[in-house]
Amino acid sequence: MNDLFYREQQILSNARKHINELKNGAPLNQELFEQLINEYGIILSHLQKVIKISDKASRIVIDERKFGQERINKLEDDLLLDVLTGIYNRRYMEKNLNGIIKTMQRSGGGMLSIMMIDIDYFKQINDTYGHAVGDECLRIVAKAIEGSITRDNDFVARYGGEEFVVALSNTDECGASIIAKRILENVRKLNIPHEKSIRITVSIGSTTGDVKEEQTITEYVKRADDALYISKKNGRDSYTFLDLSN
Amino acid sequence: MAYKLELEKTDLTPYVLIDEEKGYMVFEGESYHENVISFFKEINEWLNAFLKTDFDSFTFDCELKYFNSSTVKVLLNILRDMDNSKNNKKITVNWITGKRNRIITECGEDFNEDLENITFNLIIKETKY
Repeated sequence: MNDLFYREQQILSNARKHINELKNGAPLNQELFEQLINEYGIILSHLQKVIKISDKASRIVIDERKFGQERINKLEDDLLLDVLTGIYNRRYMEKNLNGIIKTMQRSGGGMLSIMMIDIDYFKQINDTYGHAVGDECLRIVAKAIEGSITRDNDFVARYGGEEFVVALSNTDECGASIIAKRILENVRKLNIPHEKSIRITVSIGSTTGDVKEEQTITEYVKRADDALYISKKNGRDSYTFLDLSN
Repeated sequence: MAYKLELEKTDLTPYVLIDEEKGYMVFEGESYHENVISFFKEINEWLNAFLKTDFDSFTFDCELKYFNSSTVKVLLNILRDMDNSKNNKKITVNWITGKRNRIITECGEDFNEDLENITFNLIIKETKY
């Protein structure tokens, strides 16, 4: 391919040289000129096809990028992982939580705590520092929450946007509050690599219920979300607990 | 104010005339500039903005005798942008070549294969080149 472009340069430079010689009174070398033009025609025709193909290929790449997100979404669903943060996704949470509740019910019940966590002023971080910083913020907060949970059966999932859900099995209000405070502290310590210091905090809402009551996951999430709303209203960077049944 | 541009031809670059008011663009001569993309940069920028407007009609007369492959890329972009523009039905391209200039004639035919919306006329003149 590069040979073609190189040969094109050679032909053009030979032709130019010959034209300059003609201008200076040299006789026309008809044979040379025709030979150059013929080869130029063949090369240009090849190059035009190559240019058209590479142009189409680059357009396909652009389309791929556009539609790539849909494929990532599908892949995330299949993998049960959130590709951006590397933690579980909402589908995993729903699937796994049903399993946890059933197992707990079979073994005689127990307390289940669900936490909703939301990054404070995330939209402003995104708008002020750009999406790359926003994405990094999501990643490190996800890691900080994950690092605050130590038991094997407990997990954190990205619920959507800048919201995370933490599920703590066999954990009562007191146990959940210890974890919530740990998460608040660990997030406060975070530092996004950026020229300006970016302060990150989260707000947490939590609820606890006995799985014997046969409440649905949606009810746990809804109640935790109500508690989260109170934390936001109370000035953020805080934790609120609401009992599931009240 | 309507855009107007007129560039005299050189050994390496073509004569260019753009008259936005009349909806008219002309390339004439030869195009061998090594940095042809930079030569056409301003023209491309204007054209991209113009193609988004509600113009009445636009005619592009392309009468290049010879050009290099970088010019092929520039022309391909120009023709494709015209073909994909919202007012593409109002655009006419006249690809003007000489009777003996098979290279440029074939080049025009090749471009025309991919154009679906604009009117593309291949005009072969009775010239000696």
